[in-house]
Amino acid sequence: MNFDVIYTVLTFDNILWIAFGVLLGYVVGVIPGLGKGTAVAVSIPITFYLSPLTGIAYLIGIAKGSTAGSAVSAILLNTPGEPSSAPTALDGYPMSRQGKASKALKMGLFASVIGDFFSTLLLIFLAAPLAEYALLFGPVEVTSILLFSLTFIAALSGNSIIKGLIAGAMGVLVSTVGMEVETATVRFSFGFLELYDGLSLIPVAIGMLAVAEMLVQLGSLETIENQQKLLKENVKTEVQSISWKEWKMSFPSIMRGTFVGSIIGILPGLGASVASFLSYGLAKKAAKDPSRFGKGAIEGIAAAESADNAVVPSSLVPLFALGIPGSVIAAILIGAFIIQGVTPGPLMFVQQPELVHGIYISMICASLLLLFIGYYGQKIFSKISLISLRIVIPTVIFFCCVGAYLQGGGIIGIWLMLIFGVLGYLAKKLDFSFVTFLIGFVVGPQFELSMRQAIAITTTYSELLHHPIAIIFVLITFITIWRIAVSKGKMKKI
Amino acid sequence: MFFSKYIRPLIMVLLFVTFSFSSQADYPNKPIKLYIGFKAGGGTDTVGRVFAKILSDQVGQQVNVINKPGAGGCVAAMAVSRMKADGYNLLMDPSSSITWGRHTNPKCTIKVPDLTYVGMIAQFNFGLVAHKDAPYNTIEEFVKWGKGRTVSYVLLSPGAKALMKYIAKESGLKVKYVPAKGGADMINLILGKQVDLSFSGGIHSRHPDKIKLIASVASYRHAANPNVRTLKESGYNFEGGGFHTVAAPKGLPANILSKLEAAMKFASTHAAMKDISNKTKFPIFYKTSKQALEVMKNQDKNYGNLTKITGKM
Repeated sequence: MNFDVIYTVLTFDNILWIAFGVLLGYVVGVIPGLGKGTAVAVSIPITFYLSPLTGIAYLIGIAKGSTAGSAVSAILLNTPGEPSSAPTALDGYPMSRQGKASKALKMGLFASVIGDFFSTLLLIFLAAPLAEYALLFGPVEVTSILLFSLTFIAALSGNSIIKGLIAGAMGVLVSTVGMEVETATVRFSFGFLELYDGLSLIPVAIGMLAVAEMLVQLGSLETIENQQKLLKENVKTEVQSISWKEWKMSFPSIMRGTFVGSIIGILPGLGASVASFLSYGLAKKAAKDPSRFGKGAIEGIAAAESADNAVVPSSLVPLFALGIPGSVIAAILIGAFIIQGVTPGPLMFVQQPELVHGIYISMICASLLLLFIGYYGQKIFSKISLISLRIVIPTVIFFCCVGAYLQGGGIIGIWLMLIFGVLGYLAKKLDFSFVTFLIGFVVGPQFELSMRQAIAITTTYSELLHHPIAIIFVLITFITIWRIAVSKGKMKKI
Repeated sequence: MFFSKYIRPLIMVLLFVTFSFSSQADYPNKPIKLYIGFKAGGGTDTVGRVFAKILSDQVGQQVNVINKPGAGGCVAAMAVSRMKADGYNLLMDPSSSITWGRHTNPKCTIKVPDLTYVGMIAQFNFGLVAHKDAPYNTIEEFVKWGKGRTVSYVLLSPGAKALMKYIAKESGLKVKYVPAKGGADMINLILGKQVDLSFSGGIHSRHPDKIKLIASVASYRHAANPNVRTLKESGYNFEGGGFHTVAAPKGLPANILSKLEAAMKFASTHAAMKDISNKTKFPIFYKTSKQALEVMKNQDKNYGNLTKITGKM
């Protein structure tokens, strides 16, 4: 690594923006019902005013902050800021009912930071060698890898594999709107001049993620308000520190959680919820007295939060190494990268090594800032979790409109945002994975191009036999569909 | 009474005048978008990014490069021509995506006067390129090698396809066309030995140890490869060329144009521009707004005549 980069990254401006990102992410994470997807999507237009490095570091800061912040509302309100913090609530909420809220919050933070830090290191050491290998891939290989990832994500994202595949295919279909690459033939524009250049990611992402989420939250308004009332009546803010004994109990859980989170983050589509539940389950299994879990076991929080946060950096491994987004955050980050003129993927390491190293340093910086901001802001964040959704929802919708207007080409952006907001709401209610849809939408153009290239290159079917890597990926794709369909079928019978 | 009758209209007029003046005088007061019709990492993009950086320092605003690939740059050119002519939407174009693209691709409906040209900054080195290990060094050798097989060729732009169709017709080659979103894709396909030959705007010069020039498609032999003959010298009646051209939607206000023109002139002498010119072997080729329009018109006429020979894509 070139050490001169450190000086260009650690400028006052950059650190300020990363800190602002972490802080904003933390606040958003704390507010029940607001997730990192919403926060990052709504923030993309701001990055337009920043340099590529600062903009991307800021967005990653938000993702890291909100993942850690969502533990706060899980512990205090029993309402996880994001689904992935649900296992944190299992032991966190009982702890805060026992008057040990401060301890639980601290453990949540420390576990988050440790998980995040080590996962970032994993990203740094894994992405570059993988990218070097990926540079050797031709169109046939790229097509098969994209096919595999999309199927894998679709298969794992919901209860029904068919619904997942439909969502992914719809995403790819929507990405074909506008002029096609070779001859500029206009597709699916319905005569609207505004659609000639295709749908831009930002109004679609904001609609699908933020607007749809706000609509869903409107439905759960009452539950959250009841919890907030309960908390207001018995807030205990006495400061407690974690004892040496508790540290010793939690440390193995944190390490296990970090490992589980990092591995699951690398696999496309599994996501933070799977990681935190799995890590929590493993911690419970490994415990001497599993009956303590669910009644306020501090190592339960440690296990869930370390895994939850470890997913964020490691989910960037497939994005950086192969250009494939494995998570919602990665999909939205692609949008941000492209706005900044950077195409994420193996070539990034060759063409813009300074930027990549800069992002790495910023990510480590964000980890440290997370610790600092989380620790000293604890009291304030506890108060923020009491903000009424009646204020939050209109505010978020307002920022959504501003973002969609600025980056979506004017009024048409707001219309698209609303249309995709409604679609996203229906998708959520009917269990069609909007994550798969968005990832299909983002990788669609690349998928189309590499498939057309692959078709042009291989004139006969026998030529496909010269691409063993592609054959392996196509085979795994079919095995994935088969295995997951079987196991899901079994689950339904039970 | 007096207030509503005289003062209020006066204030309104004053406000209107100040606002309309300040919004122009303050240009630029928000980030500028510089559209590029190819993927990041190609010849237009490489120079475009350096220009964006210099422009940004010059006018004191962020200049964001936006890659909008498609149809050999025509998608971005058509998109910019439809945008607001307020100086915040600019295009860096290889000039030929308009002048060559519109003749060879019926769907590319842009015309030269549809844009305001801010100026030109560098010159492309059009050529046909192949991997260093390819068993041919000239276009004649390539044609000989390609007899009896289907050769693969990168479809970098409609013009590049029309050119290959012409070569194929003259020499009896069978060609399959592999689409790409710009020079960066093309380099990947060549380096990965996925294709036999490609058109190149000149970005191949960045990989002299891995990619070789088979023929110059320009009217001159490339300075970096003086031994490689031009297509015309090999008996094909074709000479093409392109320039790194900065354009804006038609009707750009004069004061904004002159500000951008000044920035462009400054950029043409800037050390960073000279540095990238050395690295990519694209010679600096500075033209003012007026001169650029003339170059565009001549080029348009020239490509129109050439397309009569080669046919459309």
